[in-house]
Amino acid sequence: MQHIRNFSIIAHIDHGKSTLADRLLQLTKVVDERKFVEQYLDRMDIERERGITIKAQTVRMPYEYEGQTYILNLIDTPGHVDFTYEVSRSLAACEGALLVVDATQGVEAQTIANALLALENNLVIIPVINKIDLPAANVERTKKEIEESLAIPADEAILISAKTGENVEEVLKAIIEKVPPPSGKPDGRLRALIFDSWYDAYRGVGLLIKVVDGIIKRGDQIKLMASQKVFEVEEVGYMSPDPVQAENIMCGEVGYIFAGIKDPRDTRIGDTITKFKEEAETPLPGYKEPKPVVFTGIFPVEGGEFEKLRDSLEKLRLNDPSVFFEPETSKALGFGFRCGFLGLLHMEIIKERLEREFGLELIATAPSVAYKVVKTNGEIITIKSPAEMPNPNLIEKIEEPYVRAVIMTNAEYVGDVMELCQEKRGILRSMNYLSENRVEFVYELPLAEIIFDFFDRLKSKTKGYASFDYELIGHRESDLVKLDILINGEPVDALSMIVHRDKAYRRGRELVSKLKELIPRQLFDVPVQAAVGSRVIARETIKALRKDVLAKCYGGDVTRKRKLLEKQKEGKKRLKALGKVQVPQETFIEILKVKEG
Amino acid sequence: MEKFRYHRKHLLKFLKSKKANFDFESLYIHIPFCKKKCLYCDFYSVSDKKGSIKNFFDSLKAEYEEFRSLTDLSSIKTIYIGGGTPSLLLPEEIEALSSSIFSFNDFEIEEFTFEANPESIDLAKMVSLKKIGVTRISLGVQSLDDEILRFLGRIHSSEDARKAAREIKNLGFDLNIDIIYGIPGQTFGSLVDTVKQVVYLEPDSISAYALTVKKDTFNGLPLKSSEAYFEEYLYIVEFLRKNGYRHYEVSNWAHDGKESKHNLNYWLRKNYLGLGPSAASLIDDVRFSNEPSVTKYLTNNSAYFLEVLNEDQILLERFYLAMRTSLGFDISQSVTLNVEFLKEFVNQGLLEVSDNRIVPTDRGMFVLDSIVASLIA
Ligand SMILES: Nc1nc2c(ncn2[C@@H]2O[C@H](COP(=O)(O)OP(=O)(O)OP(=O)(O)O)[C@@H](O)[C@H]2O)c(=O)[nH]1
Ligand code: SF4
Ligand SMILES: [Mg+2]
Repeated sequence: MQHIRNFSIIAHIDHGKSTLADRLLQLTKVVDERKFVEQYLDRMDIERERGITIKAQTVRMPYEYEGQTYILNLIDTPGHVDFTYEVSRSLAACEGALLVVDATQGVEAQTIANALLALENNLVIIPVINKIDLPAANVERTKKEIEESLAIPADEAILISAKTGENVEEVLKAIIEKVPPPSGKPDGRLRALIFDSWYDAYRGVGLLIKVVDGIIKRGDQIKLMASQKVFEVEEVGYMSPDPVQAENIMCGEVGYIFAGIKDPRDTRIGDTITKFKEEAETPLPGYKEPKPVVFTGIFPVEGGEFEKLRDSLEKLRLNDPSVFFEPETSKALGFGFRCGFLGLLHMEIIKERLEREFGLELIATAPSVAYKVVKTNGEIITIKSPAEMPNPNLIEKIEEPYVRAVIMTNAEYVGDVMELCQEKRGILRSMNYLSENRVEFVYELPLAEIIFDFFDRLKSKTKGYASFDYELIGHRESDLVKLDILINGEPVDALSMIVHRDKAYRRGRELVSKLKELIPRQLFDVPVQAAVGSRVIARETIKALRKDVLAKCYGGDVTRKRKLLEKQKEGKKRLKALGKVQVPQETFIEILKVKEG
Repeated sequence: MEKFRYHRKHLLKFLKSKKANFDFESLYIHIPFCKKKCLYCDFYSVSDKKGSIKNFFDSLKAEYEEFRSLTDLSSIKTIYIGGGTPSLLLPEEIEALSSSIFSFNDFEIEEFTFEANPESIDLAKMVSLKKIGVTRISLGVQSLDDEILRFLGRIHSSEDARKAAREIKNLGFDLNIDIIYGIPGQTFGSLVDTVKQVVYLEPDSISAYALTVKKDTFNGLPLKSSEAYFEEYLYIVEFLRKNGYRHYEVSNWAHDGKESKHNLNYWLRKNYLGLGPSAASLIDDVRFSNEPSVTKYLTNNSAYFLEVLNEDQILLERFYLAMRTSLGFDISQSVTLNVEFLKEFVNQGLLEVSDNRIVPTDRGMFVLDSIVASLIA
């Protein structure tokens, strides 16, 4: 146990964690050089396409140091704020953390947030200043920022280039010398923390665990302390980075097990594994459940795929316990789920993973946030979808989540950024010129305003020269109303939204005219209305289709006509009915995408 | 069902293997020649005769003889000679059709229609038509505005049409007049004028077709809007109703009892035999049609497209075809319809339901294809 080191690599997004991990994998020779690719641990297609890490990855690396073989367990973590929960789970399996800081960027929001998480977990932090090969690298300033904002002595920081490999050996040396070995009780009763899991089509649920006390081996009868379920261990092993079977996982080590668990609901990340009949007294601390902040309705395109979607969500939740879901029914979309996410990127990624990994075709409704509604009878409820909004006369007040947003841009775009934030109901808290050309704004903004198209518009207004970070700062009272869309007199639940009263009129008008454009003409006039409560605030009419019939249908025309009908009938299967109005699937998806603009 | 190409003898062999005797109710004969192709036309016809009518008749006879081996054709009640321009045939050729090929007088015919164009029909031909048993002449008038006739590429004048119509009536034939509406460049007034003059000619039945072309322009002008078509259609509907014509199919009106029996057979899905290039036939679950090629036809070696339909397809055809007519569709037949839409269409005045039948209204007939597509979804 003295020769085990468990550590995570943490940093702000893009500061070079995965690139550093690459170098460590090469130095310890765990990956065949011929199979090596950049950012080796970013294994999902979606990670490689976007060039970011989404899932933490574990690798066991044996390493020879001063005549002694050490076992180094590395966990590469994501840097994006939406995946902080991945980081915090990884940290619980470690005794140390490499805090990577990009020397060209310096300390950024997630550098601080992740360093604080490491401190909370009592980890030893080793600062690593990266990208020193770049001309723009400013090592001195970075050191100063590390000291000032994190109170970590920066003269101990290791200066590296993860890209060229310069000085990376020093990192390994520091891990061995500075990170303490794990401190569990090898002879104690088994306690292992489940810090990640996934679903394998053949073997069922795979669990990534850190054995804190005792030892776990094949054939053991184990019990999951929260669910109280008992299983027999069928396989144990290490990630290297592919699974490699082993005899056992010893105290202090990180590895995986399969225990014939078929039902994803039987396990939970953060649960403690102990031995059946030799149970530990108390479970390990586990994790705080993260609170979702962005919500959307997710529905299968094919109505029959609801069960498959449920099954897929359950399997996916093994791999990402921060995904929240509960069944939801929509008149327009049928059966689906209201899903909650830790942020917009998280939402996008999960929807994409569901489609890719589980072969589903999905429709998502416009994202919304969680509102707190204080009712006239004093009751306080949290609503996650417009459909849950009580009648206006039962509402005392509504509170919505606000964020503190830090926006950095070039001086020339100051006006554009301010205009955008103004429109998004932002309150300017500060504005600093970091240099003659760099400006930093701090705004307080309603989360609901930024989940629409804030980032896209910020990027286009600043031609890409803006960075944007936000954190939640709690709920505030706002004058909000529910905007309903009625097509042919019937409200379409999937199109309802909660908006600020001042914006209801404009959004209503925009939506209605967009719908008029998108919805194909029907056989009768179709009114499209936007309404707040019973008051209609915008209205358009889709004029009836006047002519659609084959003028001649004699002996030779019947076959052609029948073929056309057969084709239409096929096509109609993919039509969505909004009340008695039919729109093609594609149009409906287009309608759901209708944004502010 | 797959569509197959069959040579005639294989087609006949296949058909014989299905059934010994076929009870065709209607016979269609296609004369694929026109003097000049009209600009809007998508019928199969050629403007050069590719040899003599005599050669064509030889091939027609050959085809007819072969199909006679399938059936004695005694069940045939209606005959329709269409085209092309059948009225291009000379009086002796018209008579030869009967004397050397069909012996029309042997059939027990209830209705025998012959298509004619104003410039090529005359008294002598009409006398020949009388001789072979024709009861009804369908006259391609299209418009009674000479400027519009020229624009359509027609080679007759409005006066030709009026004259032909009067002679047809005088000789005691039933008269059907074809007109076209929705013509780009035609004013509403000009259309109104044509409709009024047509009614003044006192035809027994009228076919009014919405101009249909594949492109979005016609002869250099953009097509009329669907609203403009609708306005003209509504005028025709109203005016013809006031004058005692019943709207019995999407594009057809008639005095009571003067509806085309032959065409109704198509819409009631009765069996019919079609002869000549491009002609189509129906026998129960089998549809076949002759290759649209005069050249091939003259070699007696043209191919037939054959299709065998399943139950669902037959039902779909029954539904669609019946819905085109004022008879409508008997709901008790086992077809699954979208009840929500059915109700809404009734609400909106596009359909009526009575005595277990769904019947399209005048407005409904004009968007019938969409109605049917919605109802079967
Ligand atoms: N020049 C230079 N580029 C580097 C260095 N380290 C990383 N990069 C580049 O920086 C970009 C981001 O590197 P990653 O390793 O993916 O960063 P990350 O921290 O893992 O990013 P996330 O996982 O998305 O948070 C890539 O284009 C790397 O090639 C370095 O030392 N020098
Ligand atoms: S005369 Fe009739 S068949 Fe011949 S081209 Fe004109 S419209 Fe077509
Ligand atoms: Mg990474």
